[in-house]
Amino acid sequence: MRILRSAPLLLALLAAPASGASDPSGATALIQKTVDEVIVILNDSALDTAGRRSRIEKIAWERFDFVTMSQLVVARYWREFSPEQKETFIREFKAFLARTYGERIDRYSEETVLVVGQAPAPRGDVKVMTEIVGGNYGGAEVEYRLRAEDGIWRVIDVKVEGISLVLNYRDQFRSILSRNGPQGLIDRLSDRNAEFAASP
Amino acid sequence: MGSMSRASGWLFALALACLGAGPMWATAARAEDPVPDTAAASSDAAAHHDELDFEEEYEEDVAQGDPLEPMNRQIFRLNEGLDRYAIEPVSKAWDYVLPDFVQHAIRNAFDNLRFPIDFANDVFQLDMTQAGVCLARFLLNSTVGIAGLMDPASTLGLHRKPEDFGQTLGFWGVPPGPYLMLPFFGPSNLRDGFGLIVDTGLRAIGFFIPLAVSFGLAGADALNRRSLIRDQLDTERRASLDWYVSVRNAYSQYRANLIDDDKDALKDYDYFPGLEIDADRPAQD
Repeated sequence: MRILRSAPLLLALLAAPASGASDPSGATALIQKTVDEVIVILNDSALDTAGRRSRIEKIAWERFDFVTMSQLVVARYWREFSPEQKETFIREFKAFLARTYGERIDRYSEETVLVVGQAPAPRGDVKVMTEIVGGNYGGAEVEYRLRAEDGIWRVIDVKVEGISLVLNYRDQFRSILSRNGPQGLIDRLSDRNAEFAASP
Repeated sequence: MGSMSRASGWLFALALACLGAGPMWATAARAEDPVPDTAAASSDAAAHHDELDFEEEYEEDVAQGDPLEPMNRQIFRLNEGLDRYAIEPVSKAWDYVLPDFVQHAIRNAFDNLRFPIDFANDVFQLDMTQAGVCLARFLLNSTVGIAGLMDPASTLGLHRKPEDFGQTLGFWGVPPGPYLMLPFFGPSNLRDGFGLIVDTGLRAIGFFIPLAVSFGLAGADALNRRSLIRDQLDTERRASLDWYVSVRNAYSQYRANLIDDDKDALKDYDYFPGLEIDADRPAQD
């Protein structure tokens, strides 16, 4: 296990936009970069919770591919969505994830993250394995799955101790979709988002 | 391969189930009608295929499903009620009184007491290296670590790998069988439920203590672990649209992943040349 913070990776990162082909090391570099940035924000005592959260959200919007994630979660029902429904779903799902997982920011307790390796995955994807060190979550394994589009790597799934976020939501949404269709699912998500907004 | 003793999120919750010191889960999403989800494919199958592509999903799932879903949902609701009105309030008090480091020490001590189960199952899975690590951990942590309250072994790189008989069965190719929600113990399946019984036997061999004491200890262990995951459990519950399905899916994926890790562990060594395990699974790394 080692920290991938070597000079070659930094160079690869700087050169990333230039290389058209999606170099797998770009995926690992992206995760390392994101981890470093997020930890700096979490440790920045000049920021309040809201400030931290908005900065981390901004990074997440850039590094996660919410369109692909939405497609993967909805899976075979995706073609039953109208173009407007697709757009609404992506927006609501993104907001839902931000609301629920954003609440965790306050519970940060000086963890650091080690990037421990990467492996190829189907469809040209890359899995980047990380491990949380120290704090309340020390020892937890978190794996990111990334896919390149136009040479830009973005995260399309996160696995915590082997549990895929995409597959978990897919399972939850499946029965709602089969009973209530696309609009039913979108309504459920928007209702929950409205509830969150009402009780901060 | 996971040093799971300090897992996060789901994991804390799920580890409880494996310990047989179950979390009382219940559904926040009970407002919705618990219509049996016949279309639900077992997440075990999904996890195994590592299939994310939404077009190729058609070929996925030779649905194992959740044939006992109506019953499971009832028990889940019962567990949730128990959690909300009894376990959660007590664990809140526990959390308030005991600082985190004390809770961690208590958890370490209970982890240490699981030595016979971890060790036996390492052997059952032919993982002699991990069995050795497990034995060294027990000797070191029971002495230098003061009855297991501290974990100097991990500092030396001897990490715990939680094992149980359900994993052993999975390692030897036994499928999970139907998903089962056990009262008090939480999520399980036919295979792991059977494993729980065997593990209880393994533990009893090591520790001749009265049953009542053993129940008391199991209760303290459960309560302590529940208080360690209070926040995470709450977050995951809020992050779900159907909490029952979310827990079911997480449990299945989590167990499949542990068993895959066990198979990978064997691949690293060559104790028994020619023994082929894990024919259908591509290498993880």
